[in-house]
Amino acid sequence: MNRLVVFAAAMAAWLAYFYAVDWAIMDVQGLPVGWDLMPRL
Amino acid sequence: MRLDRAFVLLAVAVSLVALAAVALAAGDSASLAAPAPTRADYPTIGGIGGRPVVWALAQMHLFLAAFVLAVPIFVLVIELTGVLARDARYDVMAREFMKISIAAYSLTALAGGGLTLALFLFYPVVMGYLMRVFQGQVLVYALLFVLESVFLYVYYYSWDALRYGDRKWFHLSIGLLLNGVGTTLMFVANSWVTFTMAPSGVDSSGAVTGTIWQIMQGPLWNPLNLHRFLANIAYGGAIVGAYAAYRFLSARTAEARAHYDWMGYTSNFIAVVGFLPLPFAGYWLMAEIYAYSQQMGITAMGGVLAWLFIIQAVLIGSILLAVNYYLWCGLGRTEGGARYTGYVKYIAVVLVGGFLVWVTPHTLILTPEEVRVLGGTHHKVLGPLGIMPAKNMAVNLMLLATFLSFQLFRRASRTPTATWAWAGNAVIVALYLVGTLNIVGAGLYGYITPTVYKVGSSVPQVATTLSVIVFCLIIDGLMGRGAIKSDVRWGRMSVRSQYALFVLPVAFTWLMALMGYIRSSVRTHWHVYTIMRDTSPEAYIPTIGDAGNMITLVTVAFMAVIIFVFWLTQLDTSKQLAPSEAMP
Repeated sequence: MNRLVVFAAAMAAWLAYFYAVDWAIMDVQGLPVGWDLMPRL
Repeated sequence: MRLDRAFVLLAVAVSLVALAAVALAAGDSASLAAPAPTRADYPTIGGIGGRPVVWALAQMHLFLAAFVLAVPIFVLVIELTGVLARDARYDVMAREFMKISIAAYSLTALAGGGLTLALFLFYPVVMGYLMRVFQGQVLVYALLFVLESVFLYVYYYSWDALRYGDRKWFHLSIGLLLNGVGTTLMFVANSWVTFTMAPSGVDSSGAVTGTIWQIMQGPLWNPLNLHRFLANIAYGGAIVGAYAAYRFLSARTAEARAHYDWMGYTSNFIAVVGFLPLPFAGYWLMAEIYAYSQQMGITAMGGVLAWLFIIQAVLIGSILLAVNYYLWCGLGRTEGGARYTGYVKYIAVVLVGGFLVWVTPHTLILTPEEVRVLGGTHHKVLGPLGIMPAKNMAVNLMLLATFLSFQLFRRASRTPTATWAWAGNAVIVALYLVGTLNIVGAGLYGYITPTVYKVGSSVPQVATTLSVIVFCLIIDGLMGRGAIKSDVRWGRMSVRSQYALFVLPVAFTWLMALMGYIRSSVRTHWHVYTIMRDTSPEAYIPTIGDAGNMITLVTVAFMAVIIFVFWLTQLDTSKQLAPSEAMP
């Protein structure tokens, strides 16, 4: 059970990390980020 | 101590000469327009034009130079590792790497001299113009070459004289100077190449308007510097890996086999370390080419040369498969490796899948009949795999898979004792999963957006791959503290695995020649892009078939040279018995 909790927490943490990095990189390039990205999808 | 003082004096003397040369280089540049050569300015010798001769010599020089410049870089790192780890084995291996490089050094200079003569012989007007542009900087190059030779020989021959204590640090400093000079030497030569592709410091007529620094610092200079620096390391690692494999296969004792197995593993590791960031450096160079001239970028990647990027994919795919295969075989060196062998098949699926996506062309060369049957020039299912988002996904996932193979090998000899090791593993698995998701997600995003977003979304993919590698190294490093290390049985490797080490230099050499052909071809019919036209009968991009022949010819020739170098290196260890000893 412990293992599952740690795994889930790690998944959430890495998702947040990569989301933040993606956001920063796209923003620096002047490309849409966050909700602005949605209309294009 | 006398020896040390002599080195200090030498260092001071060469610094003074270097300063003098830099001052010379900063002299006035003649502000004349670039000449316009006529057909008569391109001599042929025995019916042979300049291009094939210069092409072959330039390529051969580049192969050798890449090798001899790269080896001292990782030799210095290995030597330093030996000092810090207090392990003499590193020192022995580092010296042996240098021995191979020394044997190749004079051949590099010979090929370089041959190339210079051929250039002045076949392209006197072009060379006259380039000399006028670069002036004294060319002398700086010559001086750097002298310094490179001095440091190289002093570094190699003083190895045993400066082996322990403070003297060892002095020896390491000589190695550092050698690498500083060697890398600068390459950067100077790179500036000549990038000037012909994207000239700077001159006006549209070719008249010099800027300083030598402005001429050197063109838009493509630094991307090429980085790309070649990394590629050299990967290439050097691949070549010494082949040497280790050759010695492994011919070893007669278990001790020698163990030594050369370890050397082969280290070489493969060096090749991978240089290779992993290489696609990103290549991407930067290509992006700068597009930024400098869209036309030039399209010539490289959108026209007939685009097919070569498919061949490039085949070669890089082969390199990755060989590297991974070697690492998988290496799992057999430890008792703990068996627990990971079950995962190998999944890594293989990712690699083969990525390889197939990468080699899928976007536009097919079809007959009208085939176009009719297909209903267009693009295949309905496979066509979408031909564009960059698919390639970027494939490349990044293949690099991750390669890193995973390396990680498994490393873990095979370590059993962590940290109480939180189970949590660490969960975090690493989550990292790989989310990383893969991000790479695929960014790739899919690229499919449904215009080109600028496609290119933009490839950057997070690169960042993801690098993030996974860095975080895994950190977590593994922390988990590995106090780990129980099991013996790595060096020498317990299959013969087949050694052939994977032979694949690397052959594929790398072919790949370098291939990409060099593209890099040079993007100038199209210009000696110096947009400034000095090529009016020779050979002012066209050679066909892929012709280029393929030339590239293969030079690759085979280089392999022959390398076999000679290997033979020469091991000749040093064989001794003829004295007639009295040889008598029965």
